[in-house]
Amino acid sequence: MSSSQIYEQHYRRLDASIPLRAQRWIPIAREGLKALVGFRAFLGLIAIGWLPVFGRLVQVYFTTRFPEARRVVPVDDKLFFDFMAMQLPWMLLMSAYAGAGLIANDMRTGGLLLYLSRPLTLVDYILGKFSILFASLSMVTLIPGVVLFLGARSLAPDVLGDAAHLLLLPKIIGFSLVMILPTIGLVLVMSALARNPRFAGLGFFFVFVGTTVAQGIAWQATRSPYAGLASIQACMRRVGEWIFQVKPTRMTAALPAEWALLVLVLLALGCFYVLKTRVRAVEVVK
Amino acid sequence: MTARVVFKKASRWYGPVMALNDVSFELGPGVYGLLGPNGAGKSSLLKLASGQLRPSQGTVELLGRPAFGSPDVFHSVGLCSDTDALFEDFTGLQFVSALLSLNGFDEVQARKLATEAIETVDLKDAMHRKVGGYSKGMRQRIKLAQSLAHRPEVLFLDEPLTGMDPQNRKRISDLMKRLGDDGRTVLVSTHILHELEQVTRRVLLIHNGRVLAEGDLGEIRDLLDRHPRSVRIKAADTRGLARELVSLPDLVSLNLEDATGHLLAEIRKPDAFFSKVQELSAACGVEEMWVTDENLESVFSYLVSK
Amino acid sequence: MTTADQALPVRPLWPAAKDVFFISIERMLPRPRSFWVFALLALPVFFGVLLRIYPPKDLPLTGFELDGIVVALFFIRNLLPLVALLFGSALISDAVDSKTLTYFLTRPISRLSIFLGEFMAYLVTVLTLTVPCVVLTYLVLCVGTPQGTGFGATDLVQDLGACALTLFTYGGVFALLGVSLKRPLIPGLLFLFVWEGFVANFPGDAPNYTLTAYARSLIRHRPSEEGLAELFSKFFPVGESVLVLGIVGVVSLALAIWIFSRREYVISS
Repeated sequence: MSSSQIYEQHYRRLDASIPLRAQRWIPIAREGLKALVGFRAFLGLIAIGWLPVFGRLVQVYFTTRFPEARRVVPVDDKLFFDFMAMQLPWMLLMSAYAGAGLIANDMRTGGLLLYLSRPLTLVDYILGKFSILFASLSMVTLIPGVVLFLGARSLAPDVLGDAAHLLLLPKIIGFSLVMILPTIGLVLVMSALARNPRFAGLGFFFVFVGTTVAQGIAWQATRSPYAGLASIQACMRRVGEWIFQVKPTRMTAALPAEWALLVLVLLALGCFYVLKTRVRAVEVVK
Repeated sequence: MTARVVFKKASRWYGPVMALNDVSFELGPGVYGLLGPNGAGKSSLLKLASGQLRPSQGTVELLGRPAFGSPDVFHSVGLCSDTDALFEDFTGLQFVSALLSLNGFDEVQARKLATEAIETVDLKDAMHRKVGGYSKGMRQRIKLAQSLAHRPEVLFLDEPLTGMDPQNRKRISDLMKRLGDDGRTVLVSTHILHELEQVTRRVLLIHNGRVLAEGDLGEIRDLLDRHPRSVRIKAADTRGLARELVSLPDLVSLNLEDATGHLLAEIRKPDAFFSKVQELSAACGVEEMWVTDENLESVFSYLVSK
Repeated sequence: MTTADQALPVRPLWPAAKDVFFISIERMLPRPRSFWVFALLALPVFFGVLLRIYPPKDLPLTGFELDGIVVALFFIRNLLPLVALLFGSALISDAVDSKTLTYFLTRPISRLSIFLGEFMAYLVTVLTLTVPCVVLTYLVLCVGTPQGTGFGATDLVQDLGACALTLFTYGGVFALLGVSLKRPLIPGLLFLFVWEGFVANFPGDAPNYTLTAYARSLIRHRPSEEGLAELFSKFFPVGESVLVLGIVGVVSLALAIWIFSRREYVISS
């Protein structure tokens, strides 16, 4: 039996676009973290970063056994502030290790174009890299801080068990963010500016150390507390002192915490602005 | 033959990975093709030959001296490596001149030799531009220029034709041939088999870290008796020719290709077969005859196939 | 064209090192990273200019003393070791990363001359970046100000010598780190900020085992103000400091050369 064809449709043009999936930065973050965890040095840095937690817990335990020792080493907000402030140098080392190559390697090897030839935007890319660092740095600041708080609370419920001390938790989180966010911004900018991860890492240290030393010199010369505004580290410390309501150091005593916070916010925003303009590539999907 | 490059039972491991396994050969003047699939060990072989790596076992000699740790031999050795690395902020002329200065040439000599080498690779127009702005083919050619600017006796060229347009590939192939004819030893690693074939018939076939075959392409082909030679014949009377050939003792198969009318024969002893066809050429109207698998590609695929 | 029978010897050490130097300096000095390092090293100059334009009332320090602090704390203790880490650890590894080391290794020059040429380029680069900043800091803080009284050019020359020796010694140490380790950055930073940072300020003989204690001892015009003693906890005689820094620098360089001469570099695409 034969038939006459009336209509045949081999091909139809689809006049629509495929929507971008949500949380596109997650694969970048996940793969980046997986790669970092594969390095023993990274795990070693984290492990060493946790040693002070145990030291502080021993200190808290000691004070529960010998309450008179609390006059010398009290279990209070200052203990947590000191702990967090002492984590800062380690966080900087982690930033240099984990963050220096994040963008530099992609720019050097052309990996950036591979990323951007996927349905990803530049913001997704930066967010992915940001998340890698956020997770890495949290592992030596935020998470140990929270663990220390929970551990200390269970070891010394008579001191930390009351509801008022629960406020320590947001303080730890707040100070961690004050340390982490500008640091991530700075290290990512360095990574985007230098194609060699070694130079990016050292550039990051140059800025941190250089501004801190400059602050020291400016303070020696002028005795002005505003010299602290020149140093990222001093600003972080001053905001931390304000959050935990502890006595400031001599060099930053009269520096308004709001000013220090403003400097850090401006630094973080400036860094992300530079990042967006620096990491230029064709965005395949807008 | 004066052997300039000598491998004696040389092996090389990278940790537990064996890159080269018990390799022995000697190279004298002339052009040699180094062939092998990716990961066969070509680059390792060139690195050992050019003294960048030390053999884990055996010896590698370059101009009569151990290749590794004898920088003096590099007066007479040139290397064009496969890495796309240049001094990006230098101009082409600066780049070649600077490297010539390391060979001990003074500024005037270095500039003169560099200009000549750059002319040889047809980059004179771009020699005052920074190499960072060169195209891929230009980068390849400036690398080649630095390797031959000091007129070395031995040249190691790792994938020298990569990224070049057909015109420049031809130019560089001709240059390699000239260098070989000039009495230099040129060891070329390449994947572009048909162009290497225009330059040399002497090859070194390497696979899985072992040298599978070394020597003249035809001789190597003769040794491959597991694979009969394929011959295509165009004749007026193909059926008559087939009738005559079918009685030959070393004939493996004989087919008539419907589409072209050509006769396709697989043979073991080509000389006897060719004589017979010659005898029959007038009677059967043989117009053309050619061996289809004596080229580098066929030999290569026969050797690496399992 | 040469033949095997007429083989030429390896090029003499110093001419070959000089040729390597000229190539390396071209690739080291006029780079963005040098510019940024210079900008950071010039911070005290900028700061000094500000002080001159807007002099604060009741300055607690003289320009002479402030210059001492800048040289000791900013340059010698912090920035110059970092500069040495940046450039020194990159001496060979930069050429490995950029895959250009092959060009040096396949020339008739010894590895010793390659290393020496690179190290000379390092020294010239870092001194070119440092010396103007130290001199300008001195000029801005001391010359023509009442605070500068008593400050002599001899001190400036000594400061420059101290900076040069610091860069030489740390350069040698970090060059050793650079040829020994694939990733010298974190060990280098740990050395600078954990070992050198803490141990130099320990009591007793602990500072004897740090480089910074010897380097800071070379700054003789240190201020006598209170509170600064913590910056200068232990001092060594100049002769001893120069000797120790010199020996550490030379031994580190010798070890670095030894390792570089024996090491294979697998550079591939």
